[in-house]
Amino acid sequence: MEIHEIISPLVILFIIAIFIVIKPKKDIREPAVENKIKLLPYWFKYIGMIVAVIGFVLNFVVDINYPNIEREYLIFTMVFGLLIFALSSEKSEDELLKQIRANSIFSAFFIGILIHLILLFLNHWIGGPIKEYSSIYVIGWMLGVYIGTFYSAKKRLKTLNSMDY
Amino acid sequence: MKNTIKVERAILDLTQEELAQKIGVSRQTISSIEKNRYVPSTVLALKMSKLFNKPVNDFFSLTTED
Repeated sequence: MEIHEIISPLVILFIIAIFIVIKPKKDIREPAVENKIKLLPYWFKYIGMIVAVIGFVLNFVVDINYPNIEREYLIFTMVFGLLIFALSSEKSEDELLKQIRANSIFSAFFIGILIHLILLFLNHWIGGPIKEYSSIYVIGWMLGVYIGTFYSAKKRLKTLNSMDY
Repeated sequence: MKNTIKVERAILDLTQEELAQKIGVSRQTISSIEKNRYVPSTVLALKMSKLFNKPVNDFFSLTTED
């Protein structure tokens, strides 16, 4: 086992421990389960979109023209953009959207894991190395499925509501 | 669950947009509640009750499926 494999989990545990220590004590009368999702302001959506598109486009450009540059960095840029996009609020964020968000996160989490497992299995089956798939791909899948489910559910609701029957 | 929000809205002569603004949600939410696609939270139901000046039971009621 290499040294960084031991140190990084320890660092994470240390950070979590600090958070547990400095976490303010909650009033016992406050509701334990609250719908308190804090999101980034609306305009962060555009920043996220731009960052993700830059990462996505460069991914193809670099692949063709400069094969010696690490692609992982560009995938990282893309996933980071998607993360900002996913964490920014809508123009009118209310309880209905929060509900749709929660549902989408639930499906994205499990569908993301499922897609990843299937890909790992297929890769292993055709003889590729399992280590080739880094965790950034799982995160990418999850964010992609989340954004897809959220916007399609929102659009579907809008279409259904606009229909008269 | 079924509701008569559309009727209550008509009594007060409010559009979906106006009702949405008064209780601080989007028009899509009002539309979804009216068409029974979304069950609002208690807080939202009570806000409507205050606006319509009626108990919640008067415009929300259970159906046999609930």
